[in-house]
Amino acid sequence: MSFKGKGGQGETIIAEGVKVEGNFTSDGNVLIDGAVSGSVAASGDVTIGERAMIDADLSANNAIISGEVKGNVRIGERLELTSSARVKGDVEAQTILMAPGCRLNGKVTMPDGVLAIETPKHNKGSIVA
Amino acid sequence: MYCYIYDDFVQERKFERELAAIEARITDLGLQGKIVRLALFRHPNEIIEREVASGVKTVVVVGNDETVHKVANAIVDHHMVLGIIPMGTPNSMARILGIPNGVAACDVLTKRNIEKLDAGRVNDHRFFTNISFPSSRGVVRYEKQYDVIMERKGDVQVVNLETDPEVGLMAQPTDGVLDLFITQYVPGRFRKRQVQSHLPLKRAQLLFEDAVRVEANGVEITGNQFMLSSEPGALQVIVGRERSI
Repeated sequence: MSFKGKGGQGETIIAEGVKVEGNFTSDGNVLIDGAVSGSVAASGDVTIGERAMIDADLSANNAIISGEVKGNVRIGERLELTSSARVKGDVEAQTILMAPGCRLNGKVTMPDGVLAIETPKHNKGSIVA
Repeated sequence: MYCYIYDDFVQERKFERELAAIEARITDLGLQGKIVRLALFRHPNEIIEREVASGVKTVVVVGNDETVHKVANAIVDHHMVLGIIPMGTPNSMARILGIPNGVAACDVLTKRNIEKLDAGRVNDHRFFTNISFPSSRGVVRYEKQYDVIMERKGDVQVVNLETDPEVGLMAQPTDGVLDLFITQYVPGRFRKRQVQSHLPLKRAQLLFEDAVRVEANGVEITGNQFMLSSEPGALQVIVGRERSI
């Protein structure tokens, strides 16, 4: 697939105003700003926007989460939680980058991995393991 | 062996000189073949069936986008090669395929650079460019795996080959998938914002709350259930060097 439109090459985009129900799979990269319930599995990278509401288990190669995820997150390489991320579920990744202000409630597993927590200016970040 | 299909309108007086120049160039290049003229009650399918039987391998359309769609639909099942000599307007499909207007298109034919393009299918109808569904609420159903539900009304477009660069929905017609776009307006801080979803698909069902009417390259379809699928490499077409696919 080599889509050359507004959304970038080969990217599936679930925008605001759209809800996915069921076991969503993708062969490429996925950008989610809408709602998903069920599961999300992508062979590429997944970006979850600030407005996204994910009530699903998530698996991908890399992921950046800025919205709300209720479900287990299993990432092959790098997981980035931005300051607006709210994750309720177990997380597994090689590398996890957490910004101040993000919320993570769940078990963190890092097989041979690295955890990086950005130095918070205001101590808003919380990890409950 | 070539067969040239002239659309009805190219026989008008204003095209006389251009057509004569094209015919002269075809003779110079040694690409002569049978000439068949489309008429109001002469369906391209009948012409193609007859030409297949007489051993024609390449059908060259002399006309505009509408002529190309009519003939392309008829030749796909016979695995013939399509050539285009654009005349009249609109000719956006030829432009995307890098085929210049009029006489210059004859030189593209002689190079025989063949590209296999995908076709799209909506119910029993084939399309080569795109189809637009009017604003409605609907669901895109991917087999039994998942549903993509439109929570508010939106415009749905299914694109194989976008012929209008202004629309900005360029899709690659050689990748084996159709690109489905949902354009909606959601509340913003001061006014509504436009958002767009993009879903690549090989096969999916599109279900609407109410019946809608769509046009798929010259055929009108009305209903609230549409089966969409991609036919990879269905159309063999001679393309130019300046193609944008």
